[in-house]
Amino acid sequence: MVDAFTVENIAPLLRVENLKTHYSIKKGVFSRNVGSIKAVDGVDFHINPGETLGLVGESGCGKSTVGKTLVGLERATAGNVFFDNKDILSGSGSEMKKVRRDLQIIFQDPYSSLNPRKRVKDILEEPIRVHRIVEPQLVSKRVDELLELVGLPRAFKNRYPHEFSGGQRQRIGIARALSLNPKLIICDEPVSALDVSIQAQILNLLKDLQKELNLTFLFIAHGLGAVKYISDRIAVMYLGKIVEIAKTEEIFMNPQHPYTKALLSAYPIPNPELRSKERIIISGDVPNPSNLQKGCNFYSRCPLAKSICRDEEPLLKGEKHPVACFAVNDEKKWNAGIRL
Amino acid sequence: MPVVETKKRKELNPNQHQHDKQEILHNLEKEESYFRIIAKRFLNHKLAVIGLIVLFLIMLVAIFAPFIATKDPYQINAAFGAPPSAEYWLGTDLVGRDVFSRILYASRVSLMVGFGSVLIYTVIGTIIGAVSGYFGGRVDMIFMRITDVFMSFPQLMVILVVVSIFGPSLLNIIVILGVLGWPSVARLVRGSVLSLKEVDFVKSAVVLGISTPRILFSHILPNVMAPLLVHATFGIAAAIIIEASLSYLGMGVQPPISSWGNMLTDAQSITVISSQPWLWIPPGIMIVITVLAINFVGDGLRDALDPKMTN
Amino acid sequence: MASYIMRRLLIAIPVLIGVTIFNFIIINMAPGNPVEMFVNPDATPAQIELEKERMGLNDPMVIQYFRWMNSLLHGDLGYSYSTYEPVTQVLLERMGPTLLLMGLALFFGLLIAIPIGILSATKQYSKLDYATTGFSFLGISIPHFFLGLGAIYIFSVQLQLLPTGGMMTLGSGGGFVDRVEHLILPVFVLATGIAGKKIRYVRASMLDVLGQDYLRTARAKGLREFVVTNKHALKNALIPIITVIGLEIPLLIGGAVITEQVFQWPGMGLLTIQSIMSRDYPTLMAINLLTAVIVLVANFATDILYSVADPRIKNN
Repeated sequence: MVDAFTVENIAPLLRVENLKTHYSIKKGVFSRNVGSIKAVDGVDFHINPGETLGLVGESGCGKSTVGKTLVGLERATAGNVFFDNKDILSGSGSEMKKVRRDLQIIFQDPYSSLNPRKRVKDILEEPIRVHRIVEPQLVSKRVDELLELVGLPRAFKNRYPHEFSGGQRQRIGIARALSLNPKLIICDEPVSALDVSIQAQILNLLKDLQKELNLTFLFIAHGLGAVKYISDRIAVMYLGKIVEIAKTEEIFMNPQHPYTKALLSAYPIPNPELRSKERIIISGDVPNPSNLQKGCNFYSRCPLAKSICRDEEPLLKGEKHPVACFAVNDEKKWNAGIRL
Repeated sequence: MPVVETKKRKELNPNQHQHDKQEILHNLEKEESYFRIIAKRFLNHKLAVIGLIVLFLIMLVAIFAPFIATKDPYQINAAFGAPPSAEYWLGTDLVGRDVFSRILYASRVSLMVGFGSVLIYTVIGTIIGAVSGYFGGRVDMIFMRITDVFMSFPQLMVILVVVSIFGPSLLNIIVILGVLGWPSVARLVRGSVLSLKEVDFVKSAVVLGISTPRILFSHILPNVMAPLLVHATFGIAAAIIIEASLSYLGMGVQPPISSWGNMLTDAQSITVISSQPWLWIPPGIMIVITVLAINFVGDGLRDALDPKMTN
Repeated sequence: MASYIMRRLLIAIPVLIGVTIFNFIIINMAPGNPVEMFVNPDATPAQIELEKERMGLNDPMVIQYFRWMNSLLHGDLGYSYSTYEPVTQVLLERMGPTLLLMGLALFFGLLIAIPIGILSATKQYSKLDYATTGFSFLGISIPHFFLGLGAIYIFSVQLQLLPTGGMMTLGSGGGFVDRVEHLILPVFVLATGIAGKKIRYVRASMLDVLGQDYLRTARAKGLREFVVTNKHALKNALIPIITVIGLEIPLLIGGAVITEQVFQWPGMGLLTIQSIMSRDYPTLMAINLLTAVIVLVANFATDILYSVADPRIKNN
């Protein structure tokens, strides 16, 4: 982990400004656009070099779309993404392709993320050869190094993906992401498809790799468990928007947004002494993302909702601990809400 | 097709795939490749194995026809329409040529038409389907409508008309079948590409900066090979029947070159049907055996390559 | 639903136009032109040229296409090169026998295929299942013409039970029994092909349904196997079977061409062969166009039928 005090003085490696990714909904005889799903709807955050930012939220909140947009798998509708001080959304051409190599992704499902027809060797060699990362005669040595980095025996390189377990496959996926020596890796729920016992191993591997290779991570997850363990800071997302960002301990000790509080209530804390007595259980369903009302997206489920929440959209405000909520400083209502 | 194939991806069940170290070492020794698994499953399909053997024998006959044939298949002999004898094993045809030797040589025509035309249309269909599926949008829309147009004509009808325009000959039949057969392949490939495009390993290749043609040919198409191979196998059987039908109608391979189909042309006369069965029954049976063998091989391949039967 | 139908219709229109263009291109690739067919053989090149000009054959292709389309839309398909009759009239004469043949073949083919396929699926890997699989492969692998010749050899020549071809005995006036006798063999040949294809399909569809969880539930409830198969499974298995009948039409038409030739059945198939032999392109093109339209309509009906039968489609 990077020392919390130095972080703020370093220029961020990734800066995301007002990022929006919308999908259009087509309907009817002529496939006209009848609306759009605002999967990511104005997201701002930054990640410093060597840092891990956790991005959490329930499924469908757009967290994976953020990751996919950053690596270019989804087309951004609006916004800017500065990576290494270059705008990677508007730029194109071979220069941009080179920059993009420094931004890689690890997928959630270790089964669909490896081509069943290729041996481990082929999977890892291809990007190295295509981009001439090392001299042709050194490619094989580089593959050995990658396997060693992720803790797999060299002998595995002649085998096919179906011969491996989920955890081993995920290690291969990590080795592949490392093959181009990236600076930033987007970990899109890399452990949620794995067994609990394996999850810890993979998380430790990622932490070790971060230290060894000076990597920066955007760690996407739906639960707080893994994120707490690996992240320096955590961003909480709800329906396409970030509702709160803070250092990990801040989020856990002093959550501000009612949605974060609800997520924390659902997170089991082993020591009963430390369990907070407050418990927020949100009711109702997530609103249909293709038909959002004005005002706060969380309005319909929020125990602290007041009239302004229905009419106006709260902005992410605050220097050290930004929160997007009108009720944050509303002590009375806050406590009343908790007693509900 | 309404009998919907279940999704290819194996179910996520981490427990099932969790090996301990000893198991891994054990697996190292086994090293069972994809192809060996497929081969093993194919060999379990008895009819398919028999079909493959029969097909192999027919191929041998086609290659070594000059050495097996007892007579010159084009030689006109004294006896017209003679019944089977020691001299002419399956008798002679109405012009006096040896039926047995002609049947052997005709196997070449059937196999050439079958493999040749299927090869042509599989290549065309794969390219069109892959481009259509990968790039989508307007290109896809146009290609698919063209495919619809081609598929609206009953195949045999179009082939008959086109043959009547360009003239019947072995080469023309192969080319025409090849050029007209692509739509079903294009549909098949497009469907597979569409679903593979969304799979993570393809997305990973995109993020790794692999070029689009390379993704298409090296990552996507190899995964389409299985259904394509099955489709092509049944296609060969179908093409052999179409050639035989065309030749039977006199619109296919022209004498003196012998084809199993054109050897049956004489049987359009009721006298030949009733009094000279050696002229039409043997070549007919050869068609049935060959087509049956190929269909069995196709069925075996389908079962062996079926992702549903992985375990 | 209405939107789905509209959408399918709108897709069908460009395809239909594509079909006419494709057809028109083939017409124009054919050697010879109508003038040489109709004009006095002694006509001088100048006279022929004059006649071509008069018939508009020197106009640009696009104009010729629209002129052809225009007469097409008025039901005018031109004149047969061989009989000089209007093609529309010839087609109408020949359509009846072909529809009769195809309809009966489809009916009997399914009548064989559905029960056998279901039985085969419920007794998977039994001797009956293997026999059925063997029969269906044979049905797919025998060319129509060979099966037809074999049928004639056995039933007409050897056993002398049935006529060798035609629609009725010449000069007899064609009583009901006579007609039926003439129908048996060609229907048998076509139906065998359909049954061969459909048995596998019915079997696969039934196996698919039999493996579903709701059938396990039905069994767990204590329902008898007979009820499970025939009430719960059959209904769901039949939906895909019945609805895709339309997709058989192109193959059925191809099969009809050969079968009609073998049995000299005076339908559109035989007309096709005769037109090809006499290079009667207007007739040929009309047949091609008509069959393409039939196929399009059949596909359209299949789609609609399927979406009605399977509620899952409607929502997409």
